[in-house]
Amino acid sequence: MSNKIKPSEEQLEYATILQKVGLGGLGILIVSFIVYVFEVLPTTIPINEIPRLWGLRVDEFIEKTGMPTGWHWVPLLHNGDMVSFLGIVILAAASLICFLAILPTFIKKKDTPFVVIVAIQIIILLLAASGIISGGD
Amino acid sequence: MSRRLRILLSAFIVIAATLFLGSIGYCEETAAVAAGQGSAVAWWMWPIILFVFTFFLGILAVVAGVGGGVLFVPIVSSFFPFNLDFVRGAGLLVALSGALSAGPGLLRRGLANLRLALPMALIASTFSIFGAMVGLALPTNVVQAALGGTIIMIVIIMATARRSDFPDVKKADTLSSVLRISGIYYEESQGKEINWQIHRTPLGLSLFILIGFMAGMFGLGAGWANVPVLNLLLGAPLKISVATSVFLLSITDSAAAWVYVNKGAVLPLIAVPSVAGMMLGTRIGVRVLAKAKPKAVKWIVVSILFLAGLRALLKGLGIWR
Repeated sequence: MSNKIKPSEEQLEYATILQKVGLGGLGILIVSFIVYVFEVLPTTIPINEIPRLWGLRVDEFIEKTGMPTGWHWVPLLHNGDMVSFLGIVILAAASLICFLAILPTFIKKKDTPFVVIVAIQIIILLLAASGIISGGD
Repeated sequence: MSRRLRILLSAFIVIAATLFLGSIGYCEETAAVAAGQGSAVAWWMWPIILFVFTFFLGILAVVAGVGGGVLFVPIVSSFFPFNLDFVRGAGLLVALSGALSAGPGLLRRGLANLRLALPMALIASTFSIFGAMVGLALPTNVVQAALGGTIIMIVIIMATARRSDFPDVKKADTLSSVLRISGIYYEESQGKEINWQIHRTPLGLSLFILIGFMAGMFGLGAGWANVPVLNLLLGAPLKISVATSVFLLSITDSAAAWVYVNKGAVLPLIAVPSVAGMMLGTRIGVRVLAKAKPKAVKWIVVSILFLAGLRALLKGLGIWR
């Protein structure tokens, strides 16, 4: 890009946060997976059982294994398989974190249409993450 | 086609064929397990096989210029014994990770545009949530048949869609003017700055309802649909469209990913090796691309995609078990 052209302040802010959260999430994803597969911590579902059951639909899989849905994995974080959800959740939350960070910039600039768009986007992602509109319990 | 690429492609086809034959055997093995007999395949083999497979898939995706997310779901669901629910959950994470890796650089260089992406992302992400919910509620054979039909449609779009480097937008429409969706970027190939604006914004926004829904329902990246809408319909320059599409995926797929995570349809044993293999593969693919002749590879990959789509369609319709 030519030196004369600079992306907007909020675009650069978004990029910086996205990079940090994305890299952090990927790092945690890999490390937590190593913890899981090398069985450094105990697991809620024996790892060698999973290949026998992953051909089932998700509802049947949960019924047979008792795997937690929604946010019920959080109290079980002392287990290796639940730790591996940390990286996944950070990756899924990356956009939400970026939107929360750039909302004040749009407010400061009095950019009303984008304040509204970003605010609604935050609400949608929060509702999805909470399970309220995404069917988690 | 270079020698190195020929070897990579051959290796991929051999692995795919082995897995395809293996997956048929696996169905028999699953029945044996259900009958109380043990499994012959050690569990730790699966993440390794998946990692190697997605590594090659990542290389081919870059060389063929096809999104990794769109290749992952139909091909992995054809060759591996995982339920489609878990493949779609992993597919969303694969597409999401790729978008998160590329997004920051594209935003900093001014190629991805935040003002262009945000209104589209709001619509697409909202409907991706509904798509994911519908996809997880419908019977597998219905989703499989719909996935097959969609993949065949994607192949047709890939084969026929033209692209315009610098679409001629004479006048910005009212909505894009109110939202101030326009920009300027430095076009290296021409050594000059390019001003751009868009038109037909309401129509474009309404198409993102469908794009988001399909992305969530099938766990696919949606670059194949984002780029034609941004480029041909809205009139954004091709580079802006491609880069903004990648960035858009990071928002659309994260909304749908929450549904799969909350429903328990993301298995780390499937998702993490896939993400790692695909990301490493795409990095190597960028190097291979410099020496490869992508056109031939593109047609081979598109043919594999077509076969995977056809298989999903026939499997969903109960014609090919």
